[in-house]
Amino acid sequence: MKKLRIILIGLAVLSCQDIENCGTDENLDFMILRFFDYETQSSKKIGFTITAENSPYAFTPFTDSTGVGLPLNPEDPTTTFFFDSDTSHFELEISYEKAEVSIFDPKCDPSYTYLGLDTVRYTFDSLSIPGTVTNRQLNTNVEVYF
Amino acid sequence: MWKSIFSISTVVVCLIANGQQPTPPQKKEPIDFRPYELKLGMNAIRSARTAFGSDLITHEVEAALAMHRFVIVGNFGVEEHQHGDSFDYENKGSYYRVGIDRNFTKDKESGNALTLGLRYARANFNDQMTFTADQGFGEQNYFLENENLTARWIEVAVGLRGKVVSNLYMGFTMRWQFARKINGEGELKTYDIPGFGKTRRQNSTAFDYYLMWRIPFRN
Repeated sequence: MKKLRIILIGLAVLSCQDIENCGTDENLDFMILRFFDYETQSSKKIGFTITAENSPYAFTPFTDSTGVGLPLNPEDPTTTFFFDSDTSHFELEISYEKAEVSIFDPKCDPSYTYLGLDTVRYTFDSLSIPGTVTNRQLNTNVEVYF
Repeated sequence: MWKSIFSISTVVVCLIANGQQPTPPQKKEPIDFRPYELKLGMNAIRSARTAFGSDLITHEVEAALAMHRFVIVGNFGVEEHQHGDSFDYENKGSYYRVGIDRNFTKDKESGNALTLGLRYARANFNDQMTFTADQGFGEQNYFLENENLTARWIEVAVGLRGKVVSNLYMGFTMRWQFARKINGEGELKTYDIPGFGKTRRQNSTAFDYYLMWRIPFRN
């Protein structure tokens, strides 16, 4: 009887240990672009100023300058990005079937993920979408060749 | 000589025949499926969480009708839950479970029960979420809502009920909940389901403690 009581209390305590680390949320609220040389297909460093339609911000590439994380507008079904340098100007419009908002843990911020990424138009030489969902397990959503 | 052998054989056969007299057939007690008790009760854990918590209002009642070695069980509950530090998420609805248990105790008189059973459960609920966030397009207020959500799942339940005093019984039910399905979700993904719990896991376990009053139908 005493053992049963201890087991029951233990189970109750274990059930309370359910606090999540916000950093382990798999969902991402941005897509990851990687840049490649059109001729050699190898990674390419960029020096663009990247902006998005209806956004007040400019987006900074990753430290190795071969990729960038870009937010998607949850209020619109598409988002258009502009890539500007002294010598070039490119545009990319991305659509998504659905934005999903979930709660990873009540202590964390709302968790966003975008499903069904696709291109509407682009002015780069070539483009592919190996990852159609924004998720931490994917290292690339869009490959850009120019 | 032959006469003697015949006589002895006759006696032996008669003795054997006497020893094999068929015993009278035992009277098998007929199975009585008439209900012999009804237990009505409340989920004490849910009521305690309502009394001592600030973000949850929930109550659940249970009815258990016992017949032969089986118990027909039904639960009905309501739940209103709020979550969130940087957002307000509210989930409100009701649920029910129906199912049948096998009672493994043989003493019907005591009303004690050790049961294993199966339940079908269903919830009807709404949820909504409001928050302010900057998703890279400036700070905006968001309001997301799911109306008329339904969910269903199956449970395997193990229960124990013991007499405390008079017709008052206490006991627990442990549940393994599986085969969950939610219908009606939109952009907002449901965080929890009344009667089931968090949706992040496809399967779930639950522990409930009940206070019950027994109404015996026969003495």
